[in-house]
Amino acid sequence: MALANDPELIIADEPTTALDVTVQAEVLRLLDELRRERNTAVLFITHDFGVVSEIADRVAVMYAGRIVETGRTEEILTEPAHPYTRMLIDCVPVMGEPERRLDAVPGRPPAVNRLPPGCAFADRCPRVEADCRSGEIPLEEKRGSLQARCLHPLQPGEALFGEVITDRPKGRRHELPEANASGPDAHGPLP
Amino acid sequence: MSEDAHLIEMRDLARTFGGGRTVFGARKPQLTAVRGVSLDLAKGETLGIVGESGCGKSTLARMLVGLDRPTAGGIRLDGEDLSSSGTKALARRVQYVFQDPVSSLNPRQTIREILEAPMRHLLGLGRAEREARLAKLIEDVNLRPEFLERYPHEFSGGQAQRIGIARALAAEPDVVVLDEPVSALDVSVQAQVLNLLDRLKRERGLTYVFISHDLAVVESIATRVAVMYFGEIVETAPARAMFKAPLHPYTKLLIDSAPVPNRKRGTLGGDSGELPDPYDPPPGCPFAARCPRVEADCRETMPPLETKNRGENHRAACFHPLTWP
Ligand SMILES: Nc1ncnc2c1ncn2[C@@H]1O[C@H](COP(=O)(O)OP(=O)(O)OP(=O)(O)O)[C@@H](O)[C@H]1O
Ligand code: SF4
Ligand code: SF4
Ligand SMILES: [Mg+2]
Repeated sequence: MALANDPELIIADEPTTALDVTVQAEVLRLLDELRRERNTAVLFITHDFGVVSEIADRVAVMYAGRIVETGRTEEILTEPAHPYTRMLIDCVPVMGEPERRLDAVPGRPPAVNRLPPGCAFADRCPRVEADCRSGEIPLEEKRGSLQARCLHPLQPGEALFGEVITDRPKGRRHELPEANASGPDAHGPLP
Repeated sequence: MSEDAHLIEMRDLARTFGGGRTVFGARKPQLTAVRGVSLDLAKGETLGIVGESGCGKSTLARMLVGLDRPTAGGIRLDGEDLSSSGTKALARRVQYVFQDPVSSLNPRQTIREILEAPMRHLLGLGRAEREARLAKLIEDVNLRPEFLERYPHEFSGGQAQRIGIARALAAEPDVVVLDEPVSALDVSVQAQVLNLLDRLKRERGLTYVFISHDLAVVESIATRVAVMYFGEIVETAPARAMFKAPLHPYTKLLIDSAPVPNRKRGTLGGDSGELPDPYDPPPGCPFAARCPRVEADCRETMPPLETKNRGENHRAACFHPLTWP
């Protein structure tokens, strides 16, 4: 990692994604040391929630070019308000929880040059209602440290489909059907 | 079939690259990518193979599917030595799914042509029969029939990987070797492919070898795990036992290094990450330079992969394995 002139801000764009776990752990340790010793701010871009836990005080979740939720790390990871954050967390296997059901996020993000009116996540959201499909949805304070861009945010402990979770769902995985029924290029360029 | 009916037996498999002499007679350097792997594959299991980059996972996988030949050692399938039966017999029963879904498909062929090839060449099926199987196959991997007339570049990574899986299944194999099948996919798509693999295995009674460097993924899908280090298997155990209480210090290092959501780990003990020189391997344990439990005897001879105090199925190659309460 290149570090010249005692920076005040380090922007690290997926710096450990291609690394082995042991090397990754070492890089994260060094970065953490650096920010503590020199009071450097770190903007760390990643898709790995484990790495987020390890390094971040605060998290911003992006979707289709915008921040859809932000807040303190523990709060976002345990009880997010935005349905997209919840779904993203639920689709990744977690070490130590091999029985956990993996729920894929159906469909694909819209092309950023062809965003629908209203919420960009509406086509994939299990909580979508009519009001989600029009107007500008602002990033607003929800609860605790959380701000989210959502008209029907999750309450603490609430499952995506409305029922209260007493225990995380376990057992067999289930699959989603091919989500975008109009073919592979219905949503513009592929990710 | 009983638990211990081994579908595949690997014995002392080794693969060396380089070596020999140049035209001027100088020795070329020789690198051993896989050094003496003995491993059995039981029908119906999902064997996860984990280990860091360059430890020999893909080289082992390629030998298993007949894309590469071992320098030493042998592979038996249902008791039959594969060096005599040839690669065609092997290809029909053991198929491979590659890491990079799009570039592993021929860009000039339609999905129909890609999926028909193994049916024609390996199974020798006629037109009508192929047609019927194609329809079922494409539905089985959650794709729609009109996709058959399209080309690989028209698909997303997740869809392309499902086509890669369909191609592997087109030959009706017993064993599918999956080499990092979800590593190149977006996290939101990984789950779709993992869930699909899970269902196909149950429906078709498949046996999987699942290679990955992602421990969480392996823990979620594997029934048994083999850990590779420097071309060797250093530990093998049922998946739950391995993750709960590993015997080998390297396995523990891997597990402790993987970041887990909602777990802020204590300080790690500054691992050097130092690997032995593959052109000049040490006589003793290849992990000795990084091992917190190393003693003098570790540097003298290579520890054999053997059972410790944890039953027949849990083996480790270590002179001073971890003890758990
Ligand atoms: N065709 C080849 N010629 C020379 N060396 C090779 C060849 N194939 C592999 N190797 C070497 O053999 C070793 C093992 O490679 P292999 O691809 O099996 O590792 P791997 O565990 O699959 O790694 P990764 O996790 O990065 O995919 C490496 O040192 C590699 O450089
Ligand atoms: S605004 Fe509506 S569609 Fe968008 S995330 Fe919230 S509930 Fe779902
Ligand atoms: S044999 Fe010795 S050096 Fe090798 S892993 Fe075991 S304790 Fe460590
Ligand atoms: Mg590989």
